[in-house]
Amino acid sequence: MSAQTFKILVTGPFAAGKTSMIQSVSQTHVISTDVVTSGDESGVKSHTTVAMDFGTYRLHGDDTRLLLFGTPGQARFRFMTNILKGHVDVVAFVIDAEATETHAVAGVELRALARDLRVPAVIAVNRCDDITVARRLARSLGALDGEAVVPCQLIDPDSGREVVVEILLTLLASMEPTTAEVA
Amino acid sequence: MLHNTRTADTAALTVDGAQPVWMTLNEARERAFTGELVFEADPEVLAYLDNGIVYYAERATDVSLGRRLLDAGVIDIGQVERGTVRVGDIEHLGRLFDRDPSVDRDAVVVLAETSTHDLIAELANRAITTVRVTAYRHHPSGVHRWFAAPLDAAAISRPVSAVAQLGTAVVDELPGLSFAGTDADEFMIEWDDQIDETDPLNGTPLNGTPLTGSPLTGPPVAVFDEQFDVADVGAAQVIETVGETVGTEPEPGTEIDTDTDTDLAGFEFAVVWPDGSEELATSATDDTVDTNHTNDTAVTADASEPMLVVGLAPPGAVAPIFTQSDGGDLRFELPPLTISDDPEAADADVPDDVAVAVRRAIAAIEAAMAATPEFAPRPEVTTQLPEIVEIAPLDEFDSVDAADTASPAGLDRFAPPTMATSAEVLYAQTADDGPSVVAAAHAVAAPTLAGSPAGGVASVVFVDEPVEAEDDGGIERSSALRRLIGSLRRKDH
Repeated sequence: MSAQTFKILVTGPFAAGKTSMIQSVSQTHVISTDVVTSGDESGVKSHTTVAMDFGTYRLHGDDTRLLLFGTPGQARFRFMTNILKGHVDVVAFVIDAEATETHAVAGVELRALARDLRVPAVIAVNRCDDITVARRLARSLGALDGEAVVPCQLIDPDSGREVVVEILLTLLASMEPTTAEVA
Repeated sequence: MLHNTRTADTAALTVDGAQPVWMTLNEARERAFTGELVFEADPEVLAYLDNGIVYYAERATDVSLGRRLLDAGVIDIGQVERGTVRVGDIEHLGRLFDRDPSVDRDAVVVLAETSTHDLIAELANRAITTVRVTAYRHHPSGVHRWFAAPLDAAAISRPVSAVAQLGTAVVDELPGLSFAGTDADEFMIEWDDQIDETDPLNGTPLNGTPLTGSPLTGPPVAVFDEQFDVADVGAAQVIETVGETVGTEPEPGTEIDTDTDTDLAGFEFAVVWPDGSEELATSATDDTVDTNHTNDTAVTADASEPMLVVGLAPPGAVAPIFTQSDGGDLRFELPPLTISDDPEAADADVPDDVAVAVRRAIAAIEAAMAATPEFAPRPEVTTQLPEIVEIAPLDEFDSVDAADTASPAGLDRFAPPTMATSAEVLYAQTADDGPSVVAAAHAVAAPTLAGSPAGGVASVVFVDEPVEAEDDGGIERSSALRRLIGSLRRKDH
């Protein structure tokens, strides 16, 4: 049995819950590049990610590991998403359903993300419990038909873990056809 | 109207009780307010702001601006008539300088600035309770057009080195950029000063060039109000002169059309190279300049030194300087490149906490990745075929005695299977080496039976697909993923 590594990119607008999601599954201390916010951002939260968050999850007695990379949410760091999205297995895009002021930016980011994405994507709609609402929001921001949408409450680690499970299931589904073809 | 209340959710200016005017103006500046503030004093004072800066203020009882200019003697009635655009009841002075180049712009602007400053200074310490706020309302005379503020300096200096990797969406997000219309396919600079509608050299009309203004009376070059950084042109930023802004937004990867055949053919300017030599160029797209010098200045380092490749100058990098001498001659000066071996130099303008955070993340990721087991490289497939072993002739087959009579000595002569005899390897060999090896491979796969009259075939190996190895990997990966999902679902970590 060989070692297997799966990489998830967690991206989305500022203060959407990306870091919380990574923290909910990471077994290791999440390497955070948070710094104190300034300007208008300081009114939203005290710290923000400036480079990336990094968390890991590893199976016991196994070389299978999950690496989670979280990007900064500010538009000025979007180039990092564009770089990282080419080196991961699946992308999670996190939106805060209640932070409506971020939705316009989120739409721009989501469309930019999907433009040349070659790996599956999952849209996690934070602070939302209704799958219908979540899907409607995701579609309004430019989500594609086939993209998975998951409502979640990322303040709750269990919810964050469920989102990661959904992400991995989406990845698995994208791998299955290949397996079936050659079986 | 703001009346001792806070506005609900408009993030507009607020006045809580009577407060000095300077506090209100301070707040307006912090919020980069653009529009009209009416201070309900006696008489009312109207202040007009652009991006938080008061550009004009007057009392409600003041005479019109045109009248004041006349009274002050900075313009005459003829200039007012020529410079005023009248549409219905509107008397617009915004194009005063465009329509009548004889108007002394400096005198007019200084007068307006002085009166504004005096009024604001007089008002600044007075406590006023009521302020009416109207966003984006400008003075009806069009005076705003005289004072159109330059673009936000922070926006201009925003790092653009990464934009080329991003898509236009990122560029769209940058504040303060004004873009030409989508149908604008020409890289266009609109000067604040008058530009002749004829070619400056041969006097022929400029076909289709969207120039404005009356015939040029000065030298046949545009006059710059201030220097601008040519590096910004290359970085698809915005070019600006005071009073007018025109932007362009070439998408990454698209070519900026700077063809000046129609509007600047033969246009001369001096290029000063880093070594101090000066050269007269005839146009911005001069092939000689492009081929002989652009590359030279891009990389001029010694082979033994670290090479610095300069493409579009990022902020803080060496940037050409575009200047104009008193005689109207334009100079395009390229400062010498400085090459630094200091790895910290690039981080000079990065805040310490950010740099430390990034380094911490990179170190952690490198450590995590280093913990991942490395696999030995896959054995290289050699073209040497395994030795063909002839199988001993079969004796009479006796199903009953076979097991008992089987001699271990016979196994000694049997070549055990190796990795090199696997079907996958053989298939790869046949694919790599061509038809001649195919036959050899079949010979290995189907050893002849010694003693058989027809050299009968003992066995045949069928290879269906060359992807079996990947298939195994895919299944293994899927399996690992399933285990991962199961583990996360159990929440037992």
